[in-house]
Amino acid sequence: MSDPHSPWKALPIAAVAALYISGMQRFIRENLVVFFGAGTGFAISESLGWREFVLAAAAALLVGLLVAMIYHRRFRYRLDEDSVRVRKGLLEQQELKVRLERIQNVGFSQPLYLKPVGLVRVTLETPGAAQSEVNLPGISLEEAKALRDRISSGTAPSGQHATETPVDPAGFAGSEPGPASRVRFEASASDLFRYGMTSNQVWILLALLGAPVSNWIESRMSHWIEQLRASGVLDLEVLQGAPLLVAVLVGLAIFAGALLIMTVSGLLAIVRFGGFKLLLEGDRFKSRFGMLDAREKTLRTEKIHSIEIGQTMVGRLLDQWHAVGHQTGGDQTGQEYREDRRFLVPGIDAARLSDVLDTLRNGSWTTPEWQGVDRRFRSMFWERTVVAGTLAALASWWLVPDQAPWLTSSFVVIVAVVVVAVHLVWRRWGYALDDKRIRVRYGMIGKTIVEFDMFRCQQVGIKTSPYQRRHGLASLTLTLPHGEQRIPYIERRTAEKIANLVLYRVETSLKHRL
Amino acid sequence: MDPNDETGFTNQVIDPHAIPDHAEVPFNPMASKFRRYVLQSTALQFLPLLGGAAVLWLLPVVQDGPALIAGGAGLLGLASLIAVYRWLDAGYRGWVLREHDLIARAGVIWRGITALPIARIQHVETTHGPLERFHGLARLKLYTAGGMTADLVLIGLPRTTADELREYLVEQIRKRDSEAAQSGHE
Repeated sequence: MSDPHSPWKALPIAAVAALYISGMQRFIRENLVVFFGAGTGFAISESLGWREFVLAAAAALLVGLLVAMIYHRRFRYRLDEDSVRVRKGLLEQQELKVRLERIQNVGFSQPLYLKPVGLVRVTLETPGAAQSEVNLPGISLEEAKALRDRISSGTAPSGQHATETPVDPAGFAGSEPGPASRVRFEASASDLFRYGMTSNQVWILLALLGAPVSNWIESRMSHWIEQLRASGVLDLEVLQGAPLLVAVLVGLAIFAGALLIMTVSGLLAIVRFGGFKLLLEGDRFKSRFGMLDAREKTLRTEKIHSIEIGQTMVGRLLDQWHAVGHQTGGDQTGQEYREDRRFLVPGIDAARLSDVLDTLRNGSWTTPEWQGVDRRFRSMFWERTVVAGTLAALASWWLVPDQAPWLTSSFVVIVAVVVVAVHLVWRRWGYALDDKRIRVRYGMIGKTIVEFDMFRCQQVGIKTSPYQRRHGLASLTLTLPHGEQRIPYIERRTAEKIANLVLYRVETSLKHRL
Repeated sequence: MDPNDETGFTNQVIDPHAIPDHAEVPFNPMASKFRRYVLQSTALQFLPLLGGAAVLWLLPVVQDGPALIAGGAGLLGLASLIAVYRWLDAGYRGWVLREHDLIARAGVIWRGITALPIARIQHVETTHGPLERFHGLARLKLYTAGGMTADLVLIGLPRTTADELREYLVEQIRKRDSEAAQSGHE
């Protein structure tokens, strides 16, 4: 079946730089915790100084360059009549063959460092796991264009591509959409800034950075306070006599810090998603975005198996949503891959949410009548929290009686916070179903709503704990290609009815293959 | 979300009582030797730890004999509890193959019933370790799209049953794929 005119091709020599930079980026990202640990070690250790740090960094960079050069030397790809084949690997050679008809999406990306050398990164996504995905880290524009045209003609159902305008990868960044493209959503810089401010990721990053950064902040703060005291602006004795003022000052400092972090996050979102456009071209959606790393993502409408909309805690204050179109495969693998695989539409304000959703789901989105989960979900967690708190307080009185009063107070506060949190989570859980679709809503202060066709489910599970069995309850788990959706603590008979209906829908669906 | 995906089923009124109830099917028990197998495999898992404790106790350099005995007894207790749990679980486990899906149940304290439609199975395999081979047992692993690990594993099947199930399911997948290819739904 192989085409004799399509021999194995090597990546252009300029791709070594691309491999090097992306490899180093990935290495740092995957070992972030180790780097922070090593950084803290360098900072604390007296025997290790800047010289050792620079030497270690130079050695790591050199090894990285060597790895990139070997990887480039061994990387080969070829496009056959019905498949794409890739050979790669450092020590162990791996050969990957993907049939063109299995490729569901072709992604282009042009990071800043690839622009001067005129290369693009091409990702061919398949319904399988990350290991079965073809990634060409840097090929010329002409090659990319030819590859894309071949794949489009190989994957397109007959006649469907007649109306589609092929997008020239050379001009995908910031180009005007073709005549057959319809822009369905555009996010302005202010939309993206608000999206970045409301993103949860910034808080995760803060938690990760927290330990090493807090030491630095503490030393800087001590230094500043000492300077202010020495200059006479700050009178520490006055502050010691006014604990409320200190509390207000600390609160203001925390608020200012949070605002600063949110601002940085907002700016990063503008850089990452700058000029975001959601386009509909024939049978597929496209998203184009990115100021430094110009990207284009494609999603075939028939490959969307569920749509998710989310609003974070801060997002509620700013009325800011985001939507995700989930497609088959990938989501069960690593976090980085999962993030990359999601078809994300950021920066949606409440006024345009229904338009974006109607576009993605090819139909109208009406607010369903939500069914909540049983109140025993809440009472069970409340009971357990109170019992655990009481036991902890009793243990503190027995083990450390001199510290027991403040420990007990802390437990009371923790129990109160958990009790409120459980109530909020219980109130948010909900599900709604019509003849064909299910929607699940969950969250605590923020919320996520997932909608999917029943026939897309891959597996149905009903789980019961002894407590649930006593009260005739069960938790329903519906497995979708991107992961599980759970509806906890509903009546067992209801769970069984939904499970039966979902199985019926899957098993009578004509679309058995994903 | 193509509305044409389910042509023929879109507007039908579904009588909820007419839909087959997966919870009311008679489950097949696992192989009769499965309970013996779980006891022996639990013992084998704990044997190195217990052996290590015994060797340490016999060595003249170890001074704290009673603590070691207590640790060994604790390990033995834990192993017994796990063995009892697995023995009960082996008795509760069951499976049933219906025309369109395969249903399995498991668990003693937290019980679960899982139904996997045959339409969603991408790949099937049977595996057996040395102890399973000794008892004539095998496990059937069923994979769906997108996942890296098996989505449903039936452990403790008689080996012949596992092989027959595998062959049957592979045949169903083959039929489904060829039908899909013919009808243009590939």
